[in-house]
Amino acid sequence: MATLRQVERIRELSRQGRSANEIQRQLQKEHLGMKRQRLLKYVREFKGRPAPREPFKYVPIKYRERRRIRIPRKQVAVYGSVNGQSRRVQLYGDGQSLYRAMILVMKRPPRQRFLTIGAGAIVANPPRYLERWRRWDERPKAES
Amino acid sequence: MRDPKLKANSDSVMLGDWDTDTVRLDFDNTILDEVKYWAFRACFWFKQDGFIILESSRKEYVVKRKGEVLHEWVRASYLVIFNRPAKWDLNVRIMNWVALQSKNAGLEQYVRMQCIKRSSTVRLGPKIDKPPPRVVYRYGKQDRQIRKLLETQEFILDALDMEEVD
Repeated sequence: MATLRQVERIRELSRQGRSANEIQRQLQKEHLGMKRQRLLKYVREFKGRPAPREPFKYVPIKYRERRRIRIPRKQVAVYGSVNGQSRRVQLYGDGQSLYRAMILVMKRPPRQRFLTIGAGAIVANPPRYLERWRRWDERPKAES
Repeated sequence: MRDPKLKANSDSVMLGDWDTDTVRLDFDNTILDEVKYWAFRACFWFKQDGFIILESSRKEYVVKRKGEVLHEWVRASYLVIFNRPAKWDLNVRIMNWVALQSKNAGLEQYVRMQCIKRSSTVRLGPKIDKPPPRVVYRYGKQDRQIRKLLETQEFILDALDMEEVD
């Protein structure tokens, strides 16, 4: 939290048309320094300016790696039974590759009883992971 | 892009959502009020932000006497999905806590199965004679795991050329 004195000083300096950098420097000289993010919040409020829309853009490249935004991927489980024995494929991926992998697995059951695999790997090489001649049972006896 | 054979094959396999971060519960043959009770208890005790209840199958029972309906009630299978992501050990803790406290045999079996697989799964597509699960109750925030789950359901039903039931 900022003290009342700090807030008053920021308001005063903003009215004089000083930039955030100048205000920060002045506050430090007066032993009223505060966190940059908090200072910017007050300066924006007093100057009536909105917060930047895409702050990610202004993060220097050397820090971007740590703050990389992870795109959530979809995870779909396809399960059923073959000759009364349950089989399950846990797929992860996104968009078209996941859809294609789902089609392939729905047509042919997997070789292993339990398989967790990326959608791209199945699409690239279906015979390696999927049975060629067997089919899923008509009425599956499998649990979630 | 859509494959017409996909819909025909969808009877022999089931499609669901899986991961290790989402807390999921499967109450079999229960009434909705009981499910709500346990969902609220788990939500407050483990500080989950919110939850969603999906109805996966439904059975209606009727007691008749000389053709006259004396009593009727509904029992169904419900899925509970919590909004806040949890690590696998906390996830297992929550699932086991509810299974032990509620003494629901179906839920206990479900939890054992998830522990064996080391990931939790719920069905989101249709089963042989059952429709896809539909939302019957919402509470609290819905912006994280629930949003992800509903997006996956939309993807699955879109792939099967079915309309989402909500």
